[in-house]
Amino acid sequence: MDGFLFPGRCGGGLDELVLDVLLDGQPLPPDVPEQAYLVAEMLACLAGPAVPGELAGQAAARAAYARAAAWAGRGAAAGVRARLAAGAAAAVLGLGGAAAAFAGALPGPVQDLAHQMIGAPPAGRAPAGRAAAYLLCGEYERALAQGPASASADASQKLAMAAGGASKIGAWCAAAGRPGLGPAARSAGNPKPQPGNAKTAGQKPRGKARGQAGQESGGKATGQAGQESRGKATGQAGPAGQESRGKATRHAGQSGTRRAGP
Amino acid sequence: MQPALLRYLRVIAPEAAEDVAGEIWLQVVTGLAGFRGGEEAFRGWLFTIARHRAVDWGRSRARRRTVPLAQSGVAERLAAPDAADVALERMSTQAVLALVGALPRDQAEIIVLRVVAGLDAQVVARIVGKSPGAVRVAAHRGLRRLAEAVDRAGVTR
Repeated sequence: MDGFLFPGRCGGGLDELVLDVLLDGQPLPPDVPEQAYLVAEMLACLAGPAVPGELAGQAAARAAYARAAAWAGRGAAAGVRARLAAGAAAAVLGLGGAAAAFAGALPGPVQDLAHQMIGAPPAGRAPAGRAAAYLLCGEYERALAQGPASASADASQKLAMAAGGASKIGAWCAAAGRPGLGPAARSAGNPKPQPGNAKTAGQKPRGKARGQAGQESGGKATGQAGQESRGKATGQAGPAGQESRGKATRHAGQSGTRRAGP
Repeated sequence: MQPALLRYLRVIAPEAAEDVAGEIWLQVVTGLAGFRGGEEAFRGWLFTIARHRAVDWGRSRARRRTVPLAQSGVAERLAAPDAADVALERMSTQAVLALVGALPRDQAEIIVLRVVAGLDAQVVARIVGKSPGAVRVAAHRGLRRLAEAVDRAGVTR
């Protein structure tokens, strides 16, 4: 009976623990059936890097977005439609979200998404220009003046990311045209000298800011989006490719382990 | 994230993966301002939206269908691939994806969510509306079927 093997094998050769290991993308333990390596390779393929057909799918995603932006800007003359599309993006995202996106202040993959959808800078790049900073600092000022504390904590975090550190917020916002957000104002949490300023300063330029921001962000976004679409395949392949490559490595590790074995 | 999303959609909404993906990204962009959380949470959120959208699409398709399946060209696209191809190291992402797509739907989507979207069992359980134990069982069954399929193709290494 020793050494007798049934011809062929059904899938029962893989036990629960091995299957869990495969699902978690962990390296296979020694002495697993040959099948386990086969399945591991299949899963590595499944999670592998983007193939050309999938990157093309992003064009459809962008098109769907553009349709929505065009709808939001409908009725306007064709000439300003592009700028309005970006303004619609700001409306869709909510002013804070779009401002954070253009300032490069969203978490990595979310920033990359904003990069793909509305032409905000991709994750890891330096934050964008004054209009976005102006909006972000303005959001923070209003949150400080009006509460709740959770909103200002949130805005403060986004600002810290954009400005390159909490201690730099004051200078960064001042450079963007919103002075008065230095450390004293922020730690007070209740900016007494500011509410008058914040509210009036907020009100007057707010109309202007929206117009400017809409135009500036529009210009920027269009410019960026335009540039991005020209270099589309390369630009977009970046984050998606990297993300999937990470996963492939995770599973490829298993195959690597196998080949190194006896 | 787009490739991972597309692969999930190819398994649960094969005829309209790109279109549904577009709707999903739109919903994500709309909801972005209110989203709080890191990357893990974002992926869970993204695929939760994806499932809802795909289910909606499936329902509206059932209402809309007037073209017989045989004429629509869908039958060819959904045909199971050659398992031997997959087994004989002519593996490609698309071939394996098609093989997974031929599994029972609950097994297929759970495997894609675990392996391609990289979500853990708890999150997948929440998305598909099953217990973590049931998710584990379905994933195991799916993997065993994949193993069987290539085994039947008679490949030895």
